[in-house]
Amino acid sequence: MTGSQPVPVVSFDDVGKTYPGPPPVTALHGCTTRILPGEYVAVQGRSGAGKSTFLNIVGLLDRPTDGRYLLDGIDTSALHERDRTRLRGGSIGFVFQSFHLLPYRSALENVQLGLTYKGTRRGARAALAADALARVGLEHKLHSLPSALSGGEKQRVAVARALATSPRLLLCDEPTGNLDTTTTAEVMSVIASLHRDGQTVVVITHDDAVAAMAQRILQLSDGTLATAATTAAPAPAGIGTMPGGAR
Amino acid sequence: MSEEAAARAGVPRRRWSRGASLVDITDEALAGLSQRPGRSVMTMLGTILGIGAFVAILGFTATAQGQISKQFSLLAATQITVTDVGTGPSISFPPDADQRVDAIHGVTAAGVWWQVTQNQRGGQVQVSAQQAPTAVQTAETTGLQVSAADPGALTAMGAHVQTGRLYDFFAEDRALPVAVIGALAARELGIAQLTGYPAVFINGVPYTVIGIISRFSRAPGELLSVIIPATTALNRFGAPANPGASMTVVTRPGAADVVGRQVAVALRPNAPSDFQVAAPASPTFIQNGIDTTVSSLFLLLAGISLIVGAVGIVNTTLVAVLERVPEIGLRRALGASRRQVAAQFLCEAVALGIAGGLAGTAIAVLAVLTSALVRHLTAVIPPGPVIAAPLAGAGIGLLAGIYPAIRAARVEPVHALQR
Repeated sequence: MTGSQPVPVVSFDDVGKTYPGPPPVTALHGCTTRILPGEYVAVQGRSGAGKSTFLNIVGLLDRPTDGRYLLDGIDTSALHERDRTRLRGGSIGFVFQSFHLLPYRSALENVQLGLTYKGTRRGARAALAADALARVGLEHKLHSLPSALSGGEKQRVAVARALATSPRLLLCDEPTGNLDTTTTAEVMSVIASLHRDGQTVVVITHDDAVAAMAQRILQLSDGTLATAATTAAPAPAGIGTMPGGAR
Repeated sequence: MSEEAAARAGVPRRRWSRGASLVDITDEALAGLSQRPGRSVMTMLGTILGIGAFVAILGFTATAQGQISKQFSLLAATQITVTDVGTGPSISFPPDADQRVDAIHGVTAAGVWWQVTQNQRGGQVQVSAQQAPTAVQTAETTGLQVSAADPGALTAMGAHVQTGRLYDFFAEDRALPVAVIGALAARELGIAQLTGYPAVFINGVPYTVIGIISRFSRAPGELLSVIIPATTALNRFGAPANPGASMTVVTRPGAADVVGRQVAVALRPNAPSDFQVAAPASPTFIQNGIDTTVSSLFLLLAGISLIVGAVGIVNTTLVAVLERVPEIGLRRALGASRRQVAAQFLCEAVALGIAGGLAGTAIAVLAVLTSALVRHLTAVIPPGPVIAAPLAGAGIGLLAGIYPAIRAARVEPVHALQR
C-alpha cells in the first residue's frame, strides 16, 4: 500500500476461523481481500460456506483464529474487547435479515439507539436520526412503531439506524431475506442510493439479483474466498476500483 | 492497537464510539420497564408486599404505642409514691400528712394508705358478709383484702364512685366503722345496692358500707378491697408492719420532680430518711417491651416477604434476560459494551426496587391512616422507615439484579443475533 492509495475499509490477510468443537470446524481459511472506501461488495455462497462467519469477523462480532483483519487501518486482532466494541459502534452499521427493531420504540427512537451507544450528544440525536430516516424515505414515519410499518419500511428503518452513525462500513446480512420482490427492490434501491453517495457497502446474500447490484461479488465456498466477479454496477463518483481484488 | 495507535495510523478519532452515558443507560432501562407495565408491576409485587409490611407494622405499632403511652405517661408523670421505711414501731406518716403534702405547690391529691394483713393478735383478717361466717362462706371471701386509707388517699387513688359516696375527714377523725368497697369485692360479698345500709364484717365486726367504687385509676387492684378509714384501721388493727404504709401523691403534669424532692422533708423535717420517694416504673417501658416482642415477629415475616420479593426480581429479570437475548445482541452490535448492558439490567432491577419500595410505603401509610381513622386514633408514622423504605427497595433491586445483569453481560452478540 502506498501513501497515495486510500486505506482499505476492510483488509483481510490470510484470515481463518476454526471453531474448537469438538469436533473442530474450520469455517474460514486463507481469506485475503481488500474492500476500499466507497465500494459495494456482495458476498455470496451456499449455506455453510462461511458467510455468517465472514460477516461476524468483518463486523467485529467475532475474532479470527488465523491471519490479520484491519478495519479502517486498525489491526483488530490486537484490540481489547472493550476497544473492539467501541470501534464497532463507531465504524460499522449493521442491517440484519430480521430487522432487529425494538418493538416498543418508534422509528425515530430505534434509529437513535445507535447514536446513543456511539456517544452522540443527546441534543443532536433526534435531528441526526430524522435526517437518516429522511435519507431512506421515511420522514413521514418518524413516530410510527415497528408494528405499524411494512416489512420494507422496517428494513429501511434498520438501514437508517445503521446510517445514522455515519459508519465507514454498512454491513448488511441478507437484508432482503424476509422481504417480497417489491419491497426487496425498494430496500436495495435505498442501499444502492447510499452507495452512490459514497457509502462503503458489504451485502451478504444468497440472492443473485441482489448480489448483481454490487460492484464486486466475493464467492465463498467451503470457507474460502473462491472467486471474485466484477459486475456492471457503477462506482460512485471519485471512487477508484479495488486493485488486485480477492485472491 | 489502541485508540492512540489508530489515531497515529491516520484513522479519525470519531471512529471510536465514546459510548452511552449513565443517563442514557438509565433512560434505556426506564423505557424498557415502561413498555412492559404488567410485567414490571408483577415483578415489583414482592417488594411492595415486603416493604409495605415493614412500614405498616412499624406504623401500626407506633400508633398503638402512641395511644397507650399517652395514657400511661400522663399517669406515670403525675404520680409519686412515698413509702414508709422508718424503723419506729408506729407509722412514720404524721396524722396531718395529707395537709402537709397538699400544701406543696403542684400537688392535687395526696393520702396515706396500706393493706391490713393482720389483726393486733397476729391472726389473719377475715372478711365476710355475715357476722359469723361459716367455713364455706369464709372460703368464698378469701380473695378479698382490707385496706386502710385516709380520704385523701381515696382521691389520690382515683376512686370513681359507682354508688353511695366516699367517707370524709369526719369519719376519719372519729374513726367511724364505715367502709367503701371495690366493685369486685361488692360482687363477692353479694352487695349490689346500699339502700338497706348493708354491712361488711371484718373479723366479725360490722362496718357500714357507704360506697361502692367502680374504678381506681391508679390502684386497680383495690377493686377487690374493703377500704376503711386509716384511723379506724389503726385503732382496730394497729400500725402496719414496715414497710407497709405508703402515700400516693398526685401532682399536676410537670410538677412531679419538684414535689418528689420536697415531699419527704414536708412530711418529717427531722427525719426525711424515714421515707422513700419514687415514681413508679414507667408502664411505657413495659409496653415497649411487649410491642417489641410482637413487632419482631411481624418484622420477621416482613423480612421473609422481602426475600421472596428479591427472589421474584431475580427470577423475572433472568427470564427477561433470556427473552431479550436478541435485543442484547442488537445493543452489543450497535456498540454497547458488556458493562453498559449489565448496567442497563441493573438499572432496571434497581428502578423496580425503588418503585416497589415507594408503592409499598404508600400503601402502608394509607393502611395505617385508614386504620387510625376508623379506630379514632391518632396515626403515628415513624418518618425513618418511610424515608428508608425506597432506599431499601433500591438495595433489594440492586442485590437481586446483580446475577441477571452478569448473565446479560455474558450474552455473545454473535449467538444473540442468530435467534
